[in-house]
Amino acid sequence: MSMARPCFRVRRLCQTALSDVAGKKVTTIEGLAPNGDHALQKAWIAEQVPQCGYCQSGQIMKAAELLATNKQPTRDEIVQHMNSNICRCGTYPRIVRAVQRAAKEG
Amino acid sequence: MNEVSKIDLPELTVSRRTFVGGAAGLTFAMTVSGLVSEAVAATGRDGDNTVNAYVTIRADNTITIMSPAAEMGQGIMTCLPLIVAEYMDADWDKVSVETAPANHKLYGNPKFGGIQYTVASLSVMGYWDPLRMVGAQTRQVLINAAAEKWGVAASECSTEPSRVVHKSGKSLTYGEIAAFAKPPAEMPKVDPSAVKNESNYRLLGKDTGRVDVPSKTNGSAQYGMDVQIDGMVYASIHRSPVSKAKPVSVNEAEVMKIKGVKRVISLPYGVAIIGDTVESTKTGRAALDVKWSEAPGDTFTSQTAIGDYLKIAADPASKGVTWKSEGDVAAGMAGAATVKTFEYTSEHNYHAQMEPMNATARVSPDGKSAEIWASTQGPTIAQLVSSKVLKTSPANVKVYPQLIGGGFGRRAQPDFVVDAVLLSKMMGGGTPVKVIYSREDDLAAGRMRPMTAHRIDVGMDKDGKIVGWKHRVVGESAIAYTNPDRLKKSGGKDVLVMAGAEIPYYGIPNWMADHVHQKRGARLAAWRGIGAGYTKFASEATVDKLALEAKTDPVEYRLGLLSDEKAKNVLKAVAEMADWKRKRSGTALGVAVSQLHGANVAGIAEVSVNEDGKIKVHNFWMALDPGIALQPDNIVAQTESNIIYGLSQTIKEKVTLENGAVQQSNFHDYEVFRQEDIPNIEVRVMPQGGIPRGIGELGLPPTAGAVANAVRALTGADLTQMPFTPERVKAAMKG
Repeated sequence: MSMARPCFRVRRLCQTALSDVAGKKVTTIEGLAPNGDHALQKAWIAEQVPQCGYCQSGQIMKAAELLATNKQPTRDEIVQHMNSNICRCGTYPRIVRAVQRAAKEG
Repeated sequence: MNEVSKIDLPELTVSRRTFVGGAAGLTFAMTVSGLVSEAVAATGRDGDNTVNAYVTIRADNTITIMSPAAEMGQGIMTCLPLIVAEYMDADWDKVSVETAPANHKLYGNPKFGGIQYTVASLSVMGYWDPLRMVGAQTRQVLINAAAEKWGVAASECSTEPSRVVHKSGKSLTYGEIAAFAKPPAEMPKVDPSAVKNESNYRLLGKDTGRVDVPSKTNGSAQYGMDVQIDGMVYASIHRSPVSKAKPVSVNEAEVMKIKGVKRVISLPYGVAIIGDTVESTKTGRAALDVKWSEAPGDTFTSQTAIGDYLKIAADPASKGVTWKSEGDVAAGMAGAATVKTFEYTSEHNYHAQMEPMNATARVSPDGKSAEIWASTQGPTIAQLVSSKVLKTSPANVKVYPQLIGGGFGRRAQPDFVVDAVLLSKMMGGGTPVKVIYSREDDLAAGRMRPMTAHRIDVGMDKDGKIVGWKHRVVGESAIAYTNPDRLKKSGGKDVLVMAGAEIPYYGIPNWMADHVHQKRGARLAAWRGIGAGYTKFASEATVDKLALEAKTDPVEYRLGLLSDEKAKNVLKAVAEMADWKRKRSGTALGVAVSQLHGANVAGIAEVSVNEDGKIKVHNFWMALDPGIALQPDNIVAQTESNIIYGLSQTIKEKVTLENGAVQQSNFHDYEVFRQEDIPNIEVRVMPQGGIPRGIGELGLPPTAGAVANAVRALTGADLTQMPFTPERVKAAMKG
């Protein structure tokens, strides 16, 4: 699969001041894929992951970080990697399924 | 000022909306009550194409359907327009959905006083009849127009998706009809059930996918937080740590020295920092030093008050307001051979919605009109409350509802909208103000689910048959805080506190539930599942202990009690899903049932407990009956959501108050479920007919009871205090 950034580190926007990333190259959800058709984005739609959706940009970027270094993560690896990102709607099971789908289909 | 106590509903002038795009087209104006001509007149119809409406059909075959309810992840902006599309027989691929503006006359929910208020899982139930009518009438208008054009009888025509077909085979698309047809002065009378029943649905009952999902994967979804208005300034607000305290001194001069801070404004309930940037308001907020007046809540320390609540529950002299009852409890208890008593408690809970609370308002220089952009569950409430703040007509307040980044009842309150309106007015000159609460400020002044104590007395005859059930709840009234007039009108009945204390599905001849009101001074509101989150814990833990006493399997015991066949069916289904009878090693199962708005649900948890008393939920099975399943996969998604939200409140979540002030400050000390906490979840949607029922909260109430019952089955520990923290579990295991 092709990833927008083969090696990057996720920063949580809600905990990062703009000044913290001054001079750095920053990719947000809008830049993940030119037409919003990254394997993760397609998987997110296929699994109907988002509910309120507010956390989902962060969830997708966090998952992209995982797949950039681990193309076929186990379920446990997905759970551990994604554990930092809260989803209050509880879309967690679908997030795992979508990451698995993206890993498989991406 | 923040306690907007009185929300009445003055007549709204219907604002006119202009549809841009195709010049030729049809727009149908229909009120939810079907009073079409009145709505057309009210909108001041301008030509044939431009009126306020649910449905707009353009010559290019595109269709716009308005969604009257607020989308907060529950899928309502798909489901409601889908009902219209189904009954008008629209090609869903050509439909786009628009969120309706605040206009209760056109878009109000008849099941919630005719206002636009997305709460209580009542959107589908409330709009089901009116939107089927809207769809069926729209279809009939299109048929009539085509028939007239062809010079044939309308009865010889039928519809295919977005097409009227005559029995001869000729047909016209909806777009072609829209190009020549005029909306009738009066809409035809149609019986939707004569048009369509479940067996010939093309859209409902299938999984169409939610219309908002793609925008939530690429950053294009617009929340209140995304709103940017020219000339906008920002505000942060330090609300009083204790409810109803007022600022008495503020280090304004010092804070004003901070770069970017424009104003420090004292409000009746807090202090606002206005700044050029979010950063300046945060820096200003951190530098604030405020002294507060005394307040009635100053002595409210929840950890000691909960003991008082239990004593009050046990005191026969305590007076309760009867919530619901059946039969004669006093007579039932008097005739009982034995009476058993059970006690439970629950603590304050915080919504923890992901999108920080925010609202943007621009009040006109004369202070008499306003525009508001907000993620709100109650657009018309925001409108009315804001009009009261500005002492103007609601017609002068325009509300633009945005997608909601988590509601759960928090955004049913208009306080954050009032902040923005008030501050824009105080800034003057038409300055738009965007108010953003930090996580810490939001939690510190959180609008909690009330803390409660429960006492359940169960009377049994000599054969162990239940002859009386009395469930007493002690706690503050949430409605007394949000809307005292509403509480007065209901004679003190508080649905937000008491929901779920009723048990009509168990064939118990005499039962009652009552509420002993407390006045302590917490800030309160509705919280997902309202009272049923803890009342069903109390009743289902009790039923399990009665089963244990009767040496009967908990599922069998409930099947023996349940009088409702549909409830029995979901219980049997979930028992089958969990393979209930199979013995496990190291884990155990617990079951609980619930009912909401006539919809039945049953859940089973499989748990283990480690030596530290930490509960791990391995599996959660749930079967539920939505009546009719309009969007099956979305029902599954909402049920997964309810199970997770419910387990989180069961095991982790609590807010404690000390001298009236919230002791938690962020997600490190108000912990919610994360990815690693999530069990395997299996959901069975089993519609058993009737009408479609709300599913946004249905799955939450059985969670706590199921976990408590599973832990008892595994360890013998009797968990009676929510949440089931490791310390409490350990203590109960020793106990």
